[in-house]
Amino acid sequence: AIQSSRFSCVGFPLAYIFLACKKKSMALKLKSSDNKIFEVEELVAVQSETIKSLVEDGCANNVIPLPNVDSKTLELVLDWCKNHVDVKLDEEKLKEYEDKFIEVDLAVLYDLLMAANYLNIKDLLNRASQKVADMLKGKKPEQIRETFNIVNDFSPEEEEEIRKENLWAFEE
Amino acid sequence: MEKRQTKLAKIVLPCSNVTHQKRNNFPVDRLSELPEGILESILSLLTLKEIQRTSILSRRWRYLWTFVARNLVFDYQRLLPLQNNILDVNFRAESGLVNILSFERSRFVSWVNHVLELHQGDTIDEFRVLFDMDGTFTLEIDNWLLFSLKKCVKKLSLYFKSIWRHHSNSYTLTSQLLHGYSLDSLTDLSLFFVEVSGEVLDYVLSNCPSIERLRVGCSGSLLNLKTSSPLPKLKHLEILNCNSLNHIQISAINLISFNYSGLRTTKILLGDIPNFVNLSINYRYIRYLVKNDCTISRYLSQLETLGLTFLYQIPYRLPKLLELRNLKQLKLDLCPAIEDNVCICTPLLKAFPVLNRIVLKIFPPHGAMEGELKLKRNKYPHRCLKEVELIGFVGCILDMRLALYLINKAVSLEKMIIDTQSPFEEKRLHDSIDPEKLAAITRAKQLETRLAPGVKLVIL
Repeated sequence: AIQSSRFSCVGFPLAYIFLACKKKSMALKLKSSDNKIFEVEELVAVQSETIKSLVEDGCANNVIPLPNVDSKTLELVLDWCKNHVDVKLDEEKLKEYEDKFIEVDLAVLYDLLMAANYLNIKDLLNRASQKVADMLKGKKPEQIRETFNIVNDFSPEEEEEIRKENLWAFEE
Repeated sequence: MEKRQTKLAKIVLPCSNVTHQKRNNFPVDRLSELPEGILESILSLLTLKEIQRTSILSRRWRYLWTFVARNLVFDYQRLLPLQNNILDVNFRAESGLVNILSFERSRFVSWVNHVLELHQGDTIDEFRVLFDMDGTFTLEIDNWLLFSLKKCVKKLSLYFKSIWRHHSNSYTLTSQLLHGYSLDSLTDLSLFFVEVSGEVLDYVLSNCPSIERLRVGCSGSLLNLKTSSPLPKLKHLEILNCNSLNHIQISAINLISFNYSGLRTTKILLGDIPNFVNLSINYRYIRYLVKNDCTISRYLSQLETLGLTFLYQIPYRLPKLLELRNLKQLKLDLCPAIEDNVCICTPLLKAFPVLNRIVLKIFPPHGAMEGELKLKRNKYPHRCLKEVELIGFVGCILDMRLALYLINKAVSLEKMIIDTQSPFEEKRLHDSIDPEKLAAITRAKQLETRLAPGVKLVIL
């Protein structure tokens, strides 16, 4: 139930010119790994520290390629950024939005983590990390392995050894 | 040729079997493959114990935690059941409390030592020890401190409260220990139930250019807290129950908040503090604050948050002493010695008409759970109060009465927070759900029907 993104793919040069005329909110073009181009207001895009430094170095005049982010993820990420531009938005509403935003399955969550890390968007990385952390909390090792498909490659003896080594941590 | 083929087939078959299985029964483990930076960001949100437990997941995870653990918080969870039973004399006699305690202590020490031994990261953000420790462990504690300084710790916190009687020999922090170690990265320092003299604190502070928050509590050796150099970064200062303290003399131009409880005779000189907006203080000290011409009293009119602790009597005289035109938030620690919390609130709400948030901490022992719920008529509504928070709510009659009183009083209420967790800081870390807490939650829910439409009720 994620809000549909307000960013259109390229095809509206007029809109682009219009946006470009506004001094403070230039439009940037971002290219996803599957070659889709997103036009985004600069204010939205520079929430990514990675893009921000490109802009500051004057490397953002043409299309900015983002080879590590596919269009599906980029759309989500840009929606997040759009909702975090407006600092006036009240805390509760923002939290509500974030909680809804992060209700995704594991595969999408990993994509978001990778994208947030690559694009260097701190609040998104934190929120996605929090979601994974919540899934780890209060679970037994077996449950964690099952949730995240982690294969136990320890022998029973090794496992016993680790338990002994970290005795305090495994006690309730 | 034929033979070779069969060999191949034999080799190929089990392999393809495995990949097949992998696809269906063992989908890829993408978590373990995430870059270390991301895993660090995830693990940093867990407690040390939870992080340590990931060592058993798989080889990839075995030592991962030793590189990414940045918040080393060693706390006191295992002592909680002991502490809860401590008032029971029979329990103390039967269980051989002293033996149990010394056993738990030595286990605790080996846990900390083990973690420090394995820790691989170059730096840590936080090092916190919250346990019943005394001077018999000086050697170990010294080592822990030096470890955290070597790792450029930012927040350092020692909280050595005894769960039973006061320690006869508390741990003492000395400046010799710290010689040769850099305190440059330290921004937060908390020392509770640690003996620390004014000279040692002065040494620490004059070597701490980044210190923003200083908290010292229950140190009998602290006589004079005077710093030889100004502390331009210090924003928050908390000095609690240091019962030999004569003077506090600190120059901290950017101080925002000051929290003091202790002797009334302590002279407090804080110099110019133009950004000062937050004061927490014993109710009784307030009068001396004004009378002693303490520098703080000059800044009272700009106060936004006032915290009052240990209210033993109804504060009729307080409003006359304080003229706080800008006060937005009032925090009260309600002492159990007072029967009726409502009586405390009335004069205060009347005195601070522009208040928009009130936080009430209710300390045990609590009153009866059943009884008559009498409510007085609300003569003077409070028009600015928008948020009410009750901490330590157990749902007894007095709690309910207080909550209903505030609901009636605050005609512009937008949000009410009922926090059923313990008001004690050290217990809040490990609050568990027990029948008492469930009862408190049930009672808190009953308040919902009393709230005006649109008012939000948050139960914690």
